Amino acid sequence: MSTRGEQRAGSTSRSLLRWYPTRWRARYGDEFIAMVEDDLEGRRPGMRYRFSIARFGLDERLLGAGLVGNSVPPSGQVRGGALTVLCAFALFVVPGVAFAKISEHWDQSIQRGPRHLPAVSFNVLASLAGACGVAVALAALTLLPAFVGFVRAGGWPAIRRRVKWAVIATVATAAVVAGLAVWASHLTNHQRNTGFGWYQLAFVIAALLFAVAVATWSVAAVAVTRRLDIGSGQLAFAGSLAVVVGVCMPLMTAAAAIWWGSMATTAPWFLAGTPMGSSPSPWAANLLGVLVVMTLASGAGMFGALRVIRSMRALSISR
Amino acid sequence: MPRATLNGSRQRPNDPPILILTSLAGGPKHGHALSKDIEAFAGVVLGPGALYGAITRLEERGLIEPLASNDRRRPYRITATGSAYLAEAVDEMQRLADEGARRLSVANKVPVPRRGPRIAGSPI
Repeated sequence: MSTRGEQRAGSTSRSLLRWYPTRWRARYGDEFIAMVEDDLEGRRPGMRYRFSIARFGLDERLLGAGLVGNSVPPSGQVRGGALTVLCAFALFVVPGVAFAKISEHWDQSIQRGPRHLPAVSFNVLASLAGACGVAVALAALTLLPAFVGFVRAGGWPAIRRRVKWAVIATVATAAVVAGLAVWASHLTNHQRNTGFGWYQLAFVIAALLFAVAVATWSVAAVAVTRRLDIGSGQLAFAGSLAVVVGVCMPLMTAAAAIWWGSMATTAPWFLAGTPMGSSPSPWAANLLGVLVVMTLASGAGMFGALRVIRSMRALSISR
Repeated sequence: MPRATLNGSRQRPNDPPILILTSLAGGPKHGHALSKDIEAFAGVVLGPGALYGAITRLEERGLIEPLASNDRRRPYRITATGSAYLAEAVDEMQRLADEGARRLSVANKVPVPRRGPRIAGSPI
């Protein structure tokens, strides 16, 4: 094989290795690259070959995170399941906030006709969202002593970069939202909601920044929690809270869908933003997007919750 | 009772862990040599992903172990636990094969030839 061919094969093998988790790469990386190089003999890997390695690399990541199989002990499986629920909830928060914005002042749009079903579904959703918030806060409080111990033991440098990015994203979001609030106070209702392009653009930027802030905090939380030395009692409690959140998410999604359906029959003009009493189409693209993301997050949350439930039995046996 | 695989599902003769243990029962080998040997004796092509996934699980279970090497191509050998595991799996598959052959011969009224003990060095 020519030197150029060797270089190309080496860089291809290294790029394929990135599918695998860091710890696995440290242990098997060199020999894996050697095997790929022997296998390819300087040829470019086909799509099937790349796909196969990607699949097994992702499998290894799931196994290492305790989300499938029994490669990690039950405590690692509970932790992996709970972190999946946390990430799913973080994903859920973004459409949740969008839903809160879309449904703002919905009750003022119904002057006559039944408002019982939209009211019940909206209140159920709001109550469950509150319960989830309390559960996440309680879980964070439960893990606080372990976090303090981790920082005191010199663990801060390992998580500093991720926390720094999360703080930067949060400050940027807060600054844009504050600017938006000041701007909004100088605009009419019509300019805020439909007629002013630059304001809408700034609103979208603020929403994206909010999503980035949520994502960076989730990444930081995962990085921290994976490194904490958590007692089995604390872990079982945090795992139970994760199950609560995992179960609440599909219920909230169902409540949002019921609210949409009931509003579509009771006050379709609210969803379409047309004058009261008109009969527009109840199909709202923004609500559909919200429900799709909520459903995806609920699926991931239920997967994590089921993993916690299954692993909890093994954890109680091993305690 | 069928033997469970490393993942807890039912044991099959073309499972990568069984193929790797069978190959290593013939002597230590590194990844690429394992892949070529398995292709030769079983007709199964194991890519690097499947092969190293199985190697990882087998090493975790203590069924194989790496040998010291100055080369990147690290060889592996089967451990005593691995040999016992493979012997049990082979026995299980042998019993299943025998039972299948017996039932086929009863159903078809045709005797299925039983393979005699292999003689060392004999090609069959």
